Amino acid sequence: MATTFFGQYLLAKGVIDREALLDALDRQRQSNLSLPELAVQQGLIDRKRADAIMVQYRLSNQTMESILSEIGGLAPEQVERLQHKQRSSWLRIGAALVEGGHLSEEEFATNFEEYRSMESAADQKIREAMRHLPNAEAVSTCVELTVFHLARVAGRPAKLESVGLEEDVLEDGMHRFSQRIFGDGDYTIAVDLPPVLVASVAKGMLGFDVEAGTETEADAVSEVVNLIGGNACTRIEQFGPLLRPEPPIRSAADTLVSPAGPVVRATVVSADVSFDVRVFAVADEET
Amino acid sequence: MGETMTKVSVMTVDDSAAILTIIAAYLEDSEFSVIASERDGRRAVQRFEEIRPDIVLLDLIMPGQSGVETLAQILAIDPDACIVMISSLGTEDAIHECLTTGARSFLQKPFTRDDFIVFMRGLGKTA
Repeated sequence: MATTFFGQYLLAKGVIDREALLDALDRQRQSNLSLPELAVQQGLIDRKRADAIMVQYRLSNQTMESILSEIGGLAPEQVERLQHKQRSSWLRIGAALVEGGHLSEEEFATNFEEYRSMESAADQKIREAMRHLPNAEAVSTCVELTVFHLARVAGRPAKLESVGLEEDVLEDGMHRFSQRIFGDGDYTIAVDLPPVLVASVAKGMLGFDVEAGTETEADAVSEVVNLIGGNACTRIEQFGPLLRPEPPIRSAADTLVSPAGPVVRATVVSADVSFDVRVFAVADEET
Repeated sequence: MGETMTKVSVMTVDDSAAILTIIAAYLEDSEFSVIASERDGRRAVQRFEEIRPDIVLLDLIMPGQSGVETLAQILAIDPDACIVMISSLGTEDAIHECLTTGARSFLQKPFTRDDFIVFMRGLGKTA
């Protein structure tokens, strides 16, 4: 089995059912509060400020601690107390399943050990696969930056599930956003998102709900891809190749941006939803 | 800021409506006022000639006329125009090209609201 989250692993293995997982996730949502949320609860900041902090966090490379201090006006000791509170009340998925009576302590321990061992092997396999990709340094930079920025803007955890070379296909129901970066090399970073992630990314980018299927929604997601492409050029320059981005584009299903032949495909799992974020990095050697 | 102080006028130019929205939100309740927003370089040059804002925030990578071309055309109208290039691309090459063409400064995305306001104040245009 490829890399996944522990809850999904248990579900796939048949140890728990869907209802148990949803119950555990619900318990997590109630228990695992963000630092700004805890600050509101303790009367340190108001709701409006907490929202502003979350938007700032999603749109920048800053740590939550520095944003809490900068925008929230909290002293380092207050941030430390919030962190302590967050750590002490944080409920992991396994503990949430045990708490809900869906899993015994013994079942948890056995399955978690198996999961960790499987995850370690899967991570190793992905790292190895990344190292053997064509143009490995540039391509892995594009993939890693895409996962980082999308997870941060959408406010969801995300991790690589698999990486490999295959024919490009835009699957039904997915929306593709892409950007070409070229110069000393020619790459296209294409991100295929399901509607639920398009909505999360647009909301995270703008800080408010956006109507689905609108130009505003597509534009907000394109801007995140633009951020990824530009930052990728900057990062890649540090090890040699000079690249520049073209404006990002949103592709219709019948106008795929990739050249003929296999392309790098990185599949990413995000949070508790069963949708995938797929990241395509296309190297064109005809520059 | 004093009660009678005039706000510093800003024109934003970016093909992304999302970025125009975010910059306008960042500058709300500050001493800066966005008086025009354009999504196209050619249109931005015409608009600059009409309204002569104190500061132009100009995206580097745009479809059609690029940010650098737009920069050069605005400077041909007013060599003292205060134009700041904004881009997620922060390569030395890109920054060098913008600054040698005549941009006053270069701001790389992403940036925080506070960093942005400090940066804007540092341009020395505050009345």
